[in-house]
Order: sequence, then structure tokens, then C-alpha cells
Amino acid sequence: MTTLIFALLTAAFWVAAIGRARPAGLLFALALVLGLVWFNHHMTDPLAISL
Amino acid sequence: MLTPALARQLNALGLLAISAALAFAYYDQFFGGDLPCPLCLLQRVALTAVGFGLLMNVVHGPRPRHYGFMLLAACFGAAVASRQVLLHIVPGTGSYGAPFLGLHFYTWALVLFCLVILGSAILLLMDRQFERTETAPGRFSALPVLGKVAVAAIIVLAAANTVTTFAECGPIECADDPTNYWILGGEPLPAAAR
Repeated sequence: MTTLIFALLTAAFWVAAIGRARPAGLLFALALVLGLVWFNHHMTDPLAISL
Repeated sequence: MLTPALARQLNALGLLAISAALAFAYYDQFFGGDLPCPLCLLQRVALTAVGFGLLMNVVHGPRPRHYGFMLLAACFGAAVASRQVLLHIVPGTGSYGAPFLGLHFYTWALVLFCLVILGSAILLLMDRQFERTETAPGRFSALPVLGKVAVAAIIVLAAANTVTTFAECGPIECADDPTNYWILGGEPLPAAAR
């Protein structure tokens, strides 16, 4: 999954560099959402702190 | 006074700084023997994503929404780094990786993401940079040398991270405490090589 997120960001950079700002922004947004999903997936251990 | 041209140059320098941080992470991975954990990789993702806002400012000119991209990515990165700091904040709960200049990489990452948030907020205050001086869409080929080098560096590093993350984690999920690359069969590296 992390590989896919990096791949999406690489594609976003490439698309932005060839002048397509809107599709690049959409790829960035998709990568960020997947990053949040994957971060939530990895938050399994309880923290030994009082919040 | 921050003109659009100066803002582009500053963003190109910022992009080079982000690329340098990602390159240093590679140095530690390949020469220090520290395989990045899942949260470490997500911090690299966030750092790369910060680079997207910088790249948009370099290629398409400074816009408030490009700083918004940077702020969103930096907030995501700060959340991941904070999570990892909190996992190890209680004395005796261990740490991950070797410290660098007295702090672990996840602590440095938290500092870096906070600096990105602060820097973006300060740059957003300087609105002369947002005056439109050109109407054509930005393109890589039209950039000055500094911009070309900065954009090429972040694209190469993002592509390299795609390849090395696949080599380490495979198609699905990384081990919590990785000891070797998935592509090499997952057998732990000899202690001398780690």
C-alpha cells in the first residue's frame, strides 16, 4: 500500500511538471487520503500515556 | 518584498531541502543499515507530499492553494511523527533506529513538519507573490536551471522510494520491525550488515 502511495505521488509530480495542475492535484489528494487510511491501519498499539 | 519570481526560487530551494532530507534517509537506510518501519515510511510519504506543494509553486507559480497542499501534507506528517514519538516517550519503552545529533529521526521529522507549517504560514502572509504575471500554464521545460534541478530531484526520489518501498514491503504491508527486504525473501540481514 505504501508503494502505491509513493507511486501516486510520483505520478502527481510528473503530471504537474508537464503542466496539468488539476489532475496532479487530484492524484495528490488521493495519495493523501490513502496515507490517512494506511496511518489509521497502523495505529494498533495502545499508547502508554494519559491523554 | 516577495515577488512571484523570488517566491519560485525560494520554493525551489525548499524543494531541494526536502530532497536532501529524503536523500539522507536513504543514506541511513543503505549505509547505516536502518530499515524504515511502516510509520517511518509514512513520514517519508508526508515529506514527499510536502514537496508536491513546493513543486506546484515552482512550476505553476505561487498560489495560496499550493501552500494549502504543503500544510495538509505537513499536518499529516506531524500526526504520524507525533504518534511515533508518543510510542516511545515513556522511558524504558525503547526506540526505533539510531539517534542522529541526539534525536531519533521521527523526532527530527516532527520538528521538520512543524517548521514547514510555520514557514508556509509566514509565506502566506506575503501576498505580493500571488500577483499574476503570466497566463500560460507552467511547464518543466520553461523553468530556470534551479527549478529544473529541484523538480528533477524530487521526481527521482519519489520514484526511487516507490521502488525501494516495494522491495522492502512487497505489495501489501511492511513488517512492524523489518529486518530485511521482502524481495530478498525476508530473511534477517546479518547483524554486521544492519
